[in-house]
Parts: sequence; structure tokens; C-alpha cells
Amino acid sequence: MKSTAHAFEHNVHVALHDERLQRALGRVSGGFIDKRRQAVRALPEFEALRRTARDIKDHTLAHLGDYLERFEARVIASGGQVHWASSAGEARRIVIELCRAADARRVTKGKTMVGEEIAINEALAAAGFEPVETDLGEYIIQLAEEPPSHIIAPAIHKTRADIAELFRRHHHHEQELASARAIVDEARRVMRQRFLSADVGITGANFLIADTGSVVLVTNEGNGDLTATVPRTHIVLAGIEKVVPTLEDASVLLRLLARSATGQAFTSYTTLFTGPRQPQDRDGPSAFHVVLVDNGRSAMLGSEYRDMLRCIRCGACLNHCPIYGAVGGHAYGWVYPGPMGSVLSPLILGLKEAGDLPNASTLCGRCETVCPVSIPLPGLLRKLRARQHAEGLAPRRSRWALALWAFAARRPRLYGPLMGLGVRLLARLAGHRGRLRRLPSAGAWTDSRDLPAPAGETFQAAWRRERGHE
Amino acid sequence: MRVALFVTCLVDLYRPRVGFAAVRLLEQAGCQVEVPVQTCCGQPAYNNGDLDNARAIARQVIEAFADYPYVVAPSGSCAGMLKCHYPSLFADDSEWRARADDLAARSHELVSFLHDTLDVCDFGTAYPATATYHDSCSSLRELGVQAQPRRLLAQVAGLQIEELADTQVCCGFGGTFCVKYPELSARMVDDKARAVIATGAHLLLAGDLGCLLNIAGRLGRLESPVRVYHIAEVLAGMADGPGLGGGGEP
Amino acid sequence: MSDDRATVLGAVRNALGRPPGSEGHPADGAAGQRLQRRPIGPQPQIGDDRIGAFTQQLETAAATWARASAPMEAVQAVQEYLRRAGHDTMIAADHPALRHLPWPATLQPHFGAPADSGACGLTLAELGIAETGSLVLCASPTTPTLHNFLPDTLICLLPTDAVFAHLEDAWQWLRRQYASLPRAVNLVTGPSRTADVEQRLQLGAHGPRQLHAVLVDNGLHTRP
Repeated sequence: MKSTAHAFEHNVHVALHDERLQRALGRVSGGFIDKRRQAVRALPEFEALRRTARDIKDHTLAHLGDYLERFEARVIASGGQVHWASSAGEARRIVIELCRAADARRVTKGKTMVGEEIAINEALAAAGFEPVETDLGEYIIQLAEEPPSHIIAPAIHKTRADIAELFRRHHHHEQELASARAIVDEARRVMRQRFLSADVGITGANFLIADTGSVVLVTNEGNGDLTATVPRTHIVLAGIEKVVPTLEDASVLLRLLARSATGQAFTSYTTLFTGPRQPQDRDGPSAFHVVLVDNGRSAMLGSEYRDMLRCIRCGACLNHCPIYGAVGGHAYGWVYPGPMGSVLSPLILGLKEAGDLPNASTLCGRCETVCPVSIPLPGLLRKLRARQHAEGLAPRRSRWALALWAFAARRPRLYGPLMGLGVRLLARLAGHRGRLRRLPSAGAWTDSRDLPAPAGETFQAAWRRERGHE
Repeated sequence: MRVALFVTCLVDLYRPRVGFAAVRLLEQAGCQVEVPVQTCCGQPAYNNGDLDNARAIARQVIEAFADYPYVVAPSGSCAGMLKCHYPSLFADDSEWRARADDLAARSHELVSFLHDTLDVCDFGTAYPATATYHDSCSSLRELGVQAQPRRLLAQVAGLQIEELADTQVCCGFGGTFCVKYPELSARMVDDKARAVIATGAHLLLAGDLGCLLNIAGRLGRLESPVRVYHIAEVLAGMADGPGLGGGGEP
Repeated sequence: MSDDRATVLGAVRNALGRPPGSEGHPADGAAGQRLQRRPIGPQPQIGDDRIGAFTQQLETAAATWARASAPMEAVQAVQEYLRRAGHDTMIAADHPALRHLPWPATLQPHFGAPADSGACGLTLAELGIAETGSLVLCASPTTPTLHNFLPDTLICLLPTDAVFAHLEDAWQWLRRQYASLPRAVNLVTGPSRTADVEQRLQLGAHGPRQLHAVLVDNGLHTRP
């Protein structure tokens, strides 16, 4: 997916003025937030699970090479194959080659964020294959030719009317799909044929189990299982950080995942896939491939950003972020939106491309409080800002303004009188009204807010005057 | 007990009354308050990635407040900076790290200091009105300050508290964020201001002047009669004058 | 096909400060130990009434259920449900336990591959998990996976004493029963669903629209 992260401010402006989007977003935060809160309240062990989950992830990352090798060995022992891709390009090449080897035409896909990350659909289409998204949200945005706007609910920005229109056009009929029920039923009908005629199925993975070589897939629709079971070949795309040691470890994470994402205790389908069909099986793929994708993750592992690799892609941070809630996912310009995207996009795409994202945050910290694996998101955003500053990537004007301010702040004897002058001036400008409606060069504040007037004398000056000190 | 007041640059420059209210509360609770010469905690540099300047300012603060057993700030974000972030600024410098840890242990946000350390909740104030309270993000999440302000406000005779919907959602100030991303900030503060108005309260209170300036600015633009004060002003019985932005008549 | 195995593992080792060339070394102490010990993390409290907890979770997940003390009652429960669900035939997984139920002449399930769509399906779960209300269905020659996904309506029988408390109990059981794990182990928790249209929940996306579990106290033997 081509990034527009560099156009963040423009994207934000568009999003804030998009009435349909704003209405759709109004549905998001409240729903997910309330549902998660209820789920957490109903599980007294939630905080203990969070601590254990963080520890499991940290341990796994500290021994990632060993667990990846064990996973690979178990996959091979169960009759599957493992492929390693250091870059997005290499991952695409592997998938295309596997599809060619399978003599594929139609390729069904379950939702896979790493698939978006490596832009696999474009690559498949360019290579002459027909990739069909089967997750309803992904299917909707595929028809709309748009990127996902949320990692759990990719079409959250679409209204029922939008979707009905897309279906009418792409399914070639003139019916009014009057209800969400009708839309889902039509998707079921259309997709069923596609499931049954697929040659290759590509899914993501929520977890990779080192102990058994299993791939864990968590869905509600059942599309992941149909994608994985019907075709001759099942290809799993997964970032290298998805591995966990045992099924017991996965259990801890599974208890947190659905609750954090949608407020469910468990999704409708949690499946362990281990290898291709066994000799007496009546269904299942005869070829099972796992493509392990690095694409910047090993660099994160060795950096001060390692904690970001704990992420289990639940979306809780997005749901609780006031910035995401105001503008939705597309404004972030790439695959991963919200707080987690504000860390990942700069790390994968670079700060020159995605430099706004770590700055477009008040560091309120709500994301960190709801993250099931306690990723220190505000801290990581600050580290990105520090890197930007060190590399001279911050915009010149703000660098200068801050440098001037810091110059004064480091010199108390200068700061006092200088600031005293400034506030006297502002207070005079405001007069008796107590506030300023307009202030030249302060439009960023005064366009939407009054500027309350300062008192006119600093506290320290008044204190020394009243208490007679120095 | 000797307490150094960490005034905070916003209180110092914008609303000294909050500083005097904090002093009155501390003195009433039996403290002897001193105010060393100071500038700022350094958040603007820190949050914009300018770690060199952040450290220089932090060293200055650590020196200035070295001799006080208690350092109290009428601000969650500044107290959070001293308690949570100063130590991490000196992670690679064992001498300054130790000094930062030491300052962190002695630093407190005002309301939680009064409640948790001094165990004083009642200042004999009266203020018949309805107020709503905004939890600033640093107070809430970095310092765990949530129950204490409400307990202290409950002792103010005649004051009713109407809880704000979505009190835990950021007001959109975020220091330099509000001027770097004005459209986003405007949207967030508008949501917050409307939530304040919806409570029907006469007053908006909080423990951070940054949040208060931001929300007061939006309330003023919406011509709302809601009066905005720092919680210290109400607790100290010093909220009889105009609120922030001079809005409305008492 | 040659690929970046050495590159990726080398980069990972490097990132962890391990000496170059340590790729290919056997699992170090810590990883090996964890894989042997398989420590269990915090688990939700189920209480003493495991079956009660199970059926409550089933209901929360929008599944329906019935309980039968013996095979004859199980058949009656299935008949009753079919009537309510408006189906008059079923396609059943060809498992001996299902074949050997006392089906009346008026209701003979068709044993074989599931229909592409629209039908009512009947299959068998190895286990139930009380903490989530999940049915554990393993791919096998007699219980192919597609029986769990293609039907419109799915009826699933399981022995009451195969309801375990927690996920970990199920994994332990699977490890003991199977030398190598089945190709697919489905934990099915209610019917399929989506909220992708305006965040309003719709039951029945690509998998079954309805799920009915029948717990059978005696006489249902899932394993030969």
C-alpha cells in the first residue's frame, strides 16, 4: 500500500470535514470502549493476565531466534514448509512463486495486516492472479479500492448505504439492500462460490506456536477457516514477532485478545492449523506454507523500540485514542493507524515519510493503559521525537522557537524579566476583557479558542514583592 | 515542615493566583513554604525530543530544589515530569540519575500531597455552586491522582460535583501539540467543552493550568458562562474573582 | 527455493547481541526449559458447576443447547431442534458415534461430505471448554473440517464428561491423544458473525448462522 503519511495534516483536514466519516467514527469509539470495559470488569484475572502476557512476550523476544527455529522444525515435521523473507519484496516474491507452483488462478485471502504491509494484493494482481478478500470488511474496501482504516474493522468508515451501493455495482444487480442483514447474506452467497473455487488460500496468523509448529487464527466470520481449508495450498503470512513458545502461552494472549479488540471473551473461531492434510483426511490443503516476514522487525528487536514487537494487533489503542477517534485510520496514511501505527509506520517507512505521526499525539497515555501487553507507547513516541530532533528532521520554525525558549529557560535571571515583559504586554493587549480573541502569529490557538489573558505580573515577582525576599 | 513550591511556568506567567492559593493551602496545613528561583520543568524540550536542553533544564531544577524535603507543584504534568521523566533523562548518567531519583521521591502534585502525605482534606472553605472536574492525563495516568481531588472538593461546603462524561479523555492541550496540530486540538477541546457545558455545572475545575487555559479558551469562544478555576483556588477560598479568561459574572 | 533464512536469523541473533554464527545452534537453556515446562498463566475462575459455566458461556456466544442423558434422548433433542430450525434433513459427519445413534426411520441423516451451502449439518466435538463455551472439533477422516463451516445450521454433539474447565486442559488432552496434532483444531464459540456493517452485530457471516450443542451424558463415544 502506498503511503500518504507525509500528507498527514492534509489527511486530517479532509477527515475532520468528512461528515459521513465523522458519523461512522461516532459509532466506533463508544462501542468498542464500552464493550472492552464490560469484558474487563467481568474478568477479575485481567490485570494478572496482562502482566503475564507482557512477560511472555518479552521472554520470547529475548530468545526469538531459538523459538523461530523450533517453530520451523515443528512445521517441517508436520509436513509443512517455512520460508523466510527479510524484506517486503522478498515476501512478495515467495508468495508469487508459491502461487505459480500451485498453478493457481483464484486466490482467496483472510485478513492479514502483514499482507497489507507488503502490498501482496497488488503484487498478486500484477502477476496475473485474482486475489479475493473474504473478510467482509476487507472485501468491502477491496471493492471500494481503499485501504483499511482500522486493523480489526477495516471498513469501519463505510456506512450501510456506502456498502449497499458497492454491492449493487459490483454484484451486478439493481436490488436495494435495505438492511445490514441483507448485505451480510449477499456477501455470504457471493463469497461461498469464491471459497469453493479457490486454488490457493492466503491467511495471516495471530500466533505461531513454536512447540507444535501450529498457526493460530482468530476470526468471527469463519472466512479464515474456509480460506485455509478448501484450496489445495494454504499460505500463511506472519511477522517474525508472532511466535510464542507454547499453547499455554498462547492461552494467556488469547484471553486478552478478543476482550481487548471487541469485548468478546472469545471469538467465534479460534483455530490451530498444523501442517497440510493428513493421509486419511477428507479435506484440507495438500501444501502448507508459512512465510516468516522480517521487514524491519529484527532492527526493532535490536533497538530501543523492541517493546513494539509485543503488539498482538488487537486495536485497543486505536479505539481509545482521541486522535484516531477524531480522524479515523486513513488519515495516518498507511497500513497501521492510531498509536501503534504512529510507532510502526515511522519505523518501517522512515521518519522522513511518516514524521508527523509520532508528533500528532498529546501523549495522553490512554493507549498504554489499555494495551494488553503494556507497550509503553507514549515513551516510544517520545523516542521517535528525540530521533527526529537529533537528525534535524523537525520543521525549522518549531526548532527555532523551542531553541529560543530553551535558551531563556536555562537562564533564570534572563527568563524572569523576559517573561515578565511578555505577560505584561499580553495583559495590556487584553485589557479588562480578560481574554484575547485574536493574536497575530497565534492563529493556531485563537482560530478556535479565546486566549485567556495573563495576570500581568509573574508569580515569582509578586512573591518576592509580597514576602520581601531578595 | 519545609516545602519548596514548584510554581510551574504556566502558573508563574499566567495565573499567579494559583500559586498563592497553593501557598495558602500548604501553610494552612502547617508547612513553611519557600520559592527558589526557577523557570520551567523542561517539558516543552522533552516532549519535542530536545533531550540536551531538557537535561540542562532538569539539572538546573535538581540543583535549585536539592535542599528541600518536599517539592510540591500545582500541576500533574510538571509533577509527572519531575517524578517520572527526570530519572529516565539521566538513564546513562549514574550521578545525575541518583540525584533525579532523589528529587523524584521528594516531589508531589499539590492535591495528592495534601491528601496522601499531609492527610488534610478540609480547609474550611465554602462555595455554594455546582462544579465539574477534568482529570488531566498526567495526573491520572502518570501519578494516579483521581480520588484525592474529589475528596478534597467534597469538603467544600455547598459545592456539588457533577461528574464529567468522558472525564478520562484528553482535552487536546498536550503542550506544543495544540499549536502544532491546531485542527485536531480544536476538535478535542470542542468535545471537552461541550461535555463540560452538558453537565450544567457553574464551574470547571482541574489541577493543571494547561488543560484549564485550553478548555477555558474554547468555553469563552462558545460564549459559555461556565467559570474556570484551578482546584487550588476553590479549595483555598480564592475563587471569588474572575475565572480564567474572565468569563461570566460570579 | 533459497531464501533469506540465514539473513533473517542472523539479523535476529545480532539484534539480541548473540555471537555471529550462532544461528543453527540448538535452543538455549531458557527457551528449551520453557518448552519443556509449559508454564500455565492466570486462568479465569470457573467455579464448581463446570457444565453450568459451559452452558452459560454457550448462551453468551449466541449458541443454543440441550442436554440428553442417553443416546435416545440425544436423537430426540436433535429432532426437536430440527423442527424449530425449520430443516427436515441433515448431512452428518460419517463418524461411528453418529451412525450408531438410534435414528428413527423418519429421520435418517445423510452421512457424507457437507453440502456447499444451505443445509443443516451434524457433527461431533471431542471436547468442550467451560471458560469460553467453546466446542473443540478436530479434523479427522470421520469429522472433516468443512462440516463445521459449510452448513447454514450446525448441530454438534459432545459427551458431557468431555467438558473441561480451561483452554490448557484441552491442550493437555490433545497432546496426550494425538501423537501429531490434527491438521485443524477448531475452537468453535457460537455461530459465525460479523459487525462490519455499521458495527451492528449480525449472526451468520460465512460460517453457520446457528449453532446448537447437544450434551450427551451417557453413551456417546467419540474415540474408538
